[in-house]
Amino acid sequence: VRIWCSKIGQFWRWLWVIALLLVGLVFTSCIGTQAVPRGWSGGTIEGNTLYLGTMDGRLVAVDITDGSRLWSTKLAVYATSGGAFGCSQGTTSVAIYGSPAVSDNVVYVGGYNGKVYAYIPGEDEPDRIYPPSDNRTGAIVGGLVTAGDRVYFATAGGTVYALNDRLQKQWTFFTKEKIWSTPAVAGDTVFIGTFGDKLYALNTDDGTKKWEFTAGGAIVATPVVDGNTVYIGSFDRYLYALDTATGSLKWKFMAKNWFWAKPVVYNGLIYAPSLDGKVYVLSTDNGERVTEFDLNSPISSSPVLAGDLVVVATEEGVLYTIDTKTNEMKRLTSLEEKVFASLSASQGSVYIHTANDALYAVDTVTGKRRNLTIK
Amino acid sequence: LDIGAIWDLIILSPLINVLIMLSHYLFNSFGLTIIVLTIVIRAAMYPLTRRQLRATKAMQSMQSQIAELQKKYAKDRQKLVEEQRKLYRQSGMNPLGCLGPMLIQFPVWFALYQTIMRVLAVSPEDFLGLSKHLYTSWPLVFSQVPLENRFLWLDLAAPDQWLILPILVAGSFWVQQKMSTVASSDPRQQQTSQMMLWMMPAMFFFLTVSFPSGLAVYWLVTNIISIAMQYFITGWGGLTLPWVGKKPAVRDRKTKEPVAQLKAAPTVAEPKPAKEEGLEHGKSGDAREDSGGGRPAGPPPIRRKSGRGRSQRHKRR
Repeated sequence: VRIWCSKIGQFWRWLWVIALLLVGLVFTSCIGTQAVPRGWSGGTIEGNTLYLGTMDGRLVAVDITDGSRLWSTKLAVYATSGGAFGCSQGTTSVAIYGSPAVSDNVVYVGGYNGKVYAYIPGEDEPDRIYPPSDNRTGAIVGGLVTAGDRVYFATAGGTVYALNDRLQKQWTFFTKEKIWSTPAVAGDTVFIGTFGDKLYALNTDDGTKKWEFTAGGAIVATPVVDGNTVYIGSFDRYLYALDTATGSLKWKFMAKNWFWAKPVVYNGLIYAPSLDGKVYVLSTDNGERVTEFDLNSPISSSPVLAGDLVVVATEEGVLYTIDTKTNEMKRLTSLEEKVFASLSASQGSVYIHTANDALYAVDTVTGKRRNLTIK
Repeated sequence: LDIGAIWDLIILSPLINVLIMLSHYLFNSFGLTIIVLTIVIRAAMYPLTRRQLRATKAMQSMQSQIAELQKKYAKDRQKLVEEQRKLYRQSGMNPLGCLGPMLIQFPVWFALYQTIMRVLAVSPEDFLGLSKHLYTSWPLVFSQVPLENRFLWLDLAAPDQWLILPILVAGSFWVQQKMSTVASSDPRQQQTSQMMLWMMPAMFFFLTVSFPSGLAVYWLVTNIISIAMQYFITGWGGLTLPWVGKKPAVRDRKTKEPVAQLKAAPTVAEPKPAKEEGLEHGKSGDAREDSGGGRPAGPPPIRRKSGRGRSQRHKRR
């Protein structure tokens, strides 16, 4: 009996240690060891239709007049990964960060899985995919830009791509630096910022470098081109104004935190939101501060111009309008949901995709809110 | 303030800012930064670690007495536990004391994991949240991020796909575990020690396969430091060196001569009264402090007044 008791005791001790090991492994697998990207795509409006990437990896089209969903399709994942026991959140859907681009009735969208999809609205399957094989190019965090028959985008792998409308590669420019920025195209130049503190100006024809400018920190914000000046915000907390032809510095302005969102340029003024919770209104001529508005919450969502109003959303989901005629700010409404996605505007309304994966239309004058269907 | 905010304020934000600043002065190498941080953390924990190691050493030398007690009270489990407790108390030792440094490291692991995911810009969501942790009064930290994620062959934000790091981490854990294994006359305890000897490295192998390499670099460096500390304080312990072919002797700190091995423990020792052995708490510890790990009988008291002990050690040097 004693021998058997001893054996049972040993068995239980072993079992306890093995159970502890298994629990540890399952726990570490299930909590997930990598952050799961969810995406924060803004909307792109074409006529009465708003195209948007949802947080469960679908491309949807919404009728902005009545708020109904017109079309929805799930982006193919192509590669999955998860915890060791498959119980952590793996990549069962494609995170979409950039706003879709629309050209000639084709909707282009880039995924965090490094794929670019071209859809004909209403169809379930993509018309074209780049790259067609599984050799992914690095995550696409910035948006896509269409100009002429070209689609421009950049990947976290550090490559800038120009594809034609059939999604065939026209040229690439390799920077060796991570890129999360959306390109800006003006005339025959593509501007793109990188994590390597650089802003590159590239030829749209062949992707050759025209010039590069080195800031004091990484660049995630989308450049804005107005006339012969390109404006770009950096992590060194400066907003730079550069000559589009030479890349020479015209002026710079310092905030208290990173510039993440794309500014708005209107009537000789630039409205530059910062993660320090302020919107700086500067003269485009010399960068002098005209005024500033403290919104008390970081602003990572790119503001939008709606008529004469600049609409800004804070991360806390509070919407403000700045009247460009009087430079007065008004609190429009609070969505009480986090907002990271770029805003879009049409017909006196601004469209906001929140971190809860809801889409709202807010009247820019009355602040009245409508819920649009994306699920 | 909720717990998350307190955690951010006291642990995460300082760690993030210090790491970013450190990386600036360490050639923008985040790998090097993690190594330096590990050394700093281990240096700060040195008093605790030293205490833990001495407790382990004391445990080793108490095995003979524990064996005696086990023999004596083989049929009375409760009495045995009481007597063991008494023995620990008399020697001023807490058998769970070795858990202290381990437990303290858990928050460091969590904070380091969160920091790595943020400062290396792994996911846009995490990276965007990083700006809230940066100290406005330290302008450099704003332009310094994201940090360089390449170090040697590693992507510090991702697991080592070549499995070199997991093997190194598991191997170093095994060596450390082996060195601190307390030789026991109790076969059940021996078996448990054997299990832990393999289970812990196995567990950390799997963890290293799943977690970012940056965290694994921390584990590896901290293990190497532990092994070095352990060697200088307690010797090779239970480790058998392959090039020697037998278990290296535990050295006496005074004479530097090898002392008796623990395997002799079960057969030794006449149980002596505590008074005779000088086990009374706070009374006779001074005389027994540095008698080495191989002393056949009697627990070495753990010095409670560390200042006093330190001065004596200085004198010895």
